[in-house]
Amino acid sequence: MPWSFYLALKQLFPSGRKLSFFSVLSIAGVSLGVCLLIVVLSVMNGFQKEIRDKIVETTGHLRVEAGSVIYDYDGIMEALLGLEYRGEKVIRAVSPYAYGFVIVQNRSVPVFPAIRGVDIAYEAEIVPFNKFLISGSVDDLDNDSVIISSGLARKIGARQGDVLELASPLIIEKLKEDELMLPREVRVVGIFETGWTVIDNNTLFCTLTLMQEFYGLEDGIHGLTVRLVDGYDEEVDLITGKVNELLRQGEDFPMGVRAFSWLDLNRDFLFVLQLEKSVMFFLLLFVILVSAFAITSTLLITVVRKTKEIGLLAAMGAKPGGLVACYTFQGFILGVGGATLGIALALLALANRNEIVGFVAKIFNKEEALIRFYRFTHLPAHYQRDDFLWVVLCAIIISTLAGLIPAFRASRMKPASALRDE
Amino acid sequence: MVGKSSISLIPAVIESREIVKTFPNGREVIQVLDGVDFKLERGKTASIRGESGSGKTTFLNIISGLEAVDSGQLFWDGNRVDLRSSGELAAVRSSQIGFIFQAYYLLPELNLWENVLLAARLRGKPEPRERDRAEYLLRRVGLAERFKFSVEKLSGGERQRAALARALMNRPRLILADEPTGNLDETTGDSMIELLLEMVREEGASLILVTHNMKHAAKTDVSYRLHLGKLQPVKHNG
Repeated sequence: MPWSFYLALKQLFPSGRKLSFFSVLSIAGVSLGVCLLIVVLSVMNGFQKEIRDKIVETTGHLRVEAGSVIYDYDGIMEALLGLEYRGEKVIRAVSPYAYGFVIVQNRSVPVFPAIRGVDIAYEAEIVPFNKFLISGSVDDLDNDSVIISSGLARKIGARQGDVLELASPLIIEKLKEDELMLPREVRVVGIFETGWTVIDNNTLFCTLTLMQEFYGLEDGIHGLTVRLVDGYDEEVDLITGKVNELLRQGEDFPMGVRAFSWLDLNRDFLFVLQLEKSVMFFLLLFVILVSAFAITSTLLITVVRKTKEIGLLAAMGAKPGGLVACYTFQGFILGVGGATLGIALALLALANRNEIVGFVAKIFNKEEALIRFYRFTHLPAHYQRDDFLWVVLCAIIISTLAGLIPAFRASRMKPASALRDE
Repeated sequence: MVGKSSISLIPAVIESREIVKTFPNGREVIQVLDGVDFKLERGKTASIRGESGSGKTTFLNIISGLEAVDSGQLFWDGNRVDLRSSGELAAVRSSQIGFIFQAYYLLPELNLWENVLLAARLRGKPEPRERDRAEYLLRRVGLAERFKFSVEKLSGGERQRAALARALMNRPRLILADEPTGNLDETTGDSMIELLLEMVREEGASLILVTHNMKHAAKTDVSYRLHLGKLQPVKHNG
């Protein structure tokens, strides 16, 4: 080992002596920064993952749409279910749907929720209805009933068993032709809550047949929802490309039919999530920067304290480059030590995150508020290897750079002056 | 002993010619060395005395290449070195010159054995024979039982003996000892000088000893006094 590295290690971990207080302080600073970054990023990943999983769980992986009503979609469904990607069938389920908006009235309260007509036999393969139902049953859904979201139920004060009046926008079309289309009475057979606010606020589900009646679609649909076989989530973009290739080749398929992945459909939202995480990373990086100042000042103090030793080393033949390496390497070691300890602390904190949150909430008597306002009872966390790598890399680079100033100061010392400095 | 200026066939391990060194002090310039001529043959020992501030340490710094001269010439083993870069000088210094200071300058983060071996480490990875030599030198200076000791637990005399072992580690041709007994009591100082001269002779090295102590100065082959920037040979009685 070169003398500069050897001496750097010895200055940090002296033979037969305890680790210096300044070194402990520097390592603690870096480790806290690393810990904080990893905890925050992992919790944000956890929330992101929950949101992403929720989107896939409620909307499927892909949507196939044509921009107009699709008739004769059996061929498309068959082709999609037979699609092979890398020699494997990757599409687990396909479900036809029709969607739009309706006017709902209950006890004179009108609202305009989104309505989605699905064939429950197919849709159940894509959306786990039973998991989301907070009252009622999917089995009771027929052409005279609907399942409504919890937010909508609250808005119109509806409960399971209530009868709602649904008016289709088709009423206006009919009026133009001097025909009268009366609102349709439907029974509420279930109330659901997915945890995905966009859906929970203002949605209702009905059968595909009812929706086709409402919108005058005959046996047409607006699109198909596709769910992939488990394990292909990360390759959804490539599979979407493959689906589009298939749709372009099919001669009997309607014009303009195209597949969109859930990533395409939520790109703006996902971008905001990613941006939020990047900004958080950038801001928390300042914690490491602050600890880098601690490293710089620690090593500067060391250089000043060891002026004579530096003079001695120069007298004994140490070159300035060696002194630079010695103190820069100390910054590097403090960075590595801080990053390692920081990761350990972060893993420990994340393993006990719910206990910690619970404890803090209990102290401030905010347990209910957590559930009511933040809509979580447990703190999600998801580890991403890239986050760990970036945080560790940044911590080590910043700490190493922090060692440069003291290193150059040491290397610029005139040996004779350093030795004379009594 | 008498300062010898006669012609010798033994090559000089160190030689300075007309060395001039000044230091700025505000608007004034202090002339510390004013044309110093000095020559020390291989295997010989020399002492330099002088009042505090007379320039003894500056002279040692100059002949070891730690400080640049204003004018004059410096030779190591007959090669002119005063025009060489500090990097080149550092490389040669690490193998040819050993230092002993009044304040020892042992590194507190290293134990005794590591301090001695540091001299070899500065030249590259220490080989087994160098580790053996560090052990031998520590035994030779009477610190066989203190190998793994922290240097902070050693007495002043022990520290200076350790510094002597470190100075001799790389088998240098020249030892520069700058008031090595300055922090020691008289008895310890005397025995230290005895040991220093004995080991320097054993190793075949040359020695320049800067001291205030006339008794110690008298034990070297040649003695000088640095006064008003000039180096003057000194004659000792007995």
